[in-house]
Amino acid sequence: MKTGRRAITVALTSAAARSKTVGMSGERNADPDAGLVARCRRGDRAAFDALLARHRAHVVNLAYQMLGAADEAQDAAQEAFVKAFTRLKQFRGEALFATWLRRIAVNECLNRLARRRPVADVSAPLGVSPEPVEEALAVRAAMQALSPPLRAALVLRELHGASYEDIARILRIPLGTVRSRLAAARDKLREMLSEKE
Amino acid sequence: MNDLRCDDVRELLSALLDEELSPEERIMALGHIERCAPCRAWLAQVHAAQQRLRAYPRIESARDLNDVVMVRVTAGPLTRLADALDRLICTPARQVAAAMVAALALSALVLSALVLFAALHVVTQCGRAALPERATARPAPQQAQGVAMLPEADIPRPPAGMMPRARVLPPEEIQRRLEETLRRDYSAK
Repeated sequence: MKTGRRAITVALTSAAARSKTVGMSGERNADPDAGLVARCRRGDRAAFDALLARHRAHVVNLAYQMLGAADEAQDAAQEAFVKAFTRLKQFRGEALFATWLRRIAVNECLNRLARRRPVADVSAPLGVSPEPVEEALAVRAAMQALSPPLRAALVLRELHGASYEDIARILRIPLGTVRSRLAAARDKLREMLSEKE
Repeated sequence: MNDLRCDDVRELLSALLDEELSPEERIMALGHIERCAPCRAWLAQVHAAQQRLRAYPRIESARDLNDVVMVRVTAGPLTRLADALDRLICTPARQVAAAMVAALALSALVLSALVLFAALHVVTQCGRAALPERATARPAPQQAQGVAMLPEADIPRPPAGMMPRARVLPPEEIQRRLEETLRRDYSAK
C-alpha cells in the first residue's frame, strides 16, 4: 500500500512539474509567431523560412505519431504547411499560430487515416528513439492501436504538451470530451503496454 | 463520496495527472484513491505507460521541405489542381479507378451528344412536315357583329400558282364601296 501511495505521489508531482514546463499552450496575449506571420503575409521569404524552421520538427513528428509511417508523415507535414501558408490570410490570431498549424496538421492526418485501410504496418521504418528498438516498436504499435480520435488527444497531450483548452481548440471538441478521450486513451494504452511487458 | 464508481473516477484520475481538475474535483479524486486500492494501481500503471511514451521514435523533416512548400504555395491554380489530381491518383488501384471514371464520363458525353443530335433532327423534320399545311390554311372569315365586311367576290385574287399579294385600294374607292354597302343594308331594313 505504501509503495502504491509513493508511486501516486511521484506521478502527481511529475505531472504538476510537467504542466508548468510544457511549451505549446501559454499566454494568449503574446503569440511568439505574430511578427513572422505578419512578415510572411507581406511575402517575406526569410520570415517564411523562419516560421517553417520553428515548426517543422513538431509538425512532422506530430504526423508521425498520428500515422506511424515516416514517409506518409513527411507527405502529411508538407500538405499541412502548404495548406497553412495558402490560407495564411484566414488566420485571424484568435488562437496561437502553433495551435492553428497543429489543427491543420491533425486534420490532415485524420483525413488520411479515414481513407486508409485499417491495417497496421509493423514493417515501416522506425525513427530515432533514445530507448531500445523493441521498446520503441512496442510503444509505436500501442499508439497505432488506438482509434484516431483517442490517439490525437493523447499525442497532443503527452507528446506535445498541449493543454486541455488547446486540445479542445485543435480537435474542435468540448473540454469534457477532451477529458473523457484522454482517460479512455490512457486506459487502453495501459492495457496494451502492460501486456507487452 | 463513497457512491462514486471506479469507472467514473478514472476520468478524474486521468485529469488529476494533468493538473486539470477544479479544487473540489481534486479533493474528490484524492479521497477516492486514498480508499481504493484498484484505482491506485490503475493510476500507477497509467503513469508508467506515460513514462514509456517517451520511447516513441522521432523523425527528421525532409531537407527540401521549405523549397517544396514555397513552390507549391506560390504555384498558380492550374498547377495546384494538377498537383492535387496527381496526389489523388498516386496508387495503381486509384489510377485504374480514375481511368474507368474517365472512360465512363467520355461515354456518357458521347451518348448525350448523340441523343441531342437525334432529338434536334426529329424536331427539324416535324417542323418541315407541318410547314405546308400551315402555309395553305386560310383563316375562316370572321364577321364581327355590326361590322360589314366587303363581299368576298370583290377582293381581287392573284393568278393561280402565285402567292397572294397585299393590295391597297385608293381611299376614294374604299369610301365608295363602304357607302354602297351601307346603302344596300339600310335599304333592306
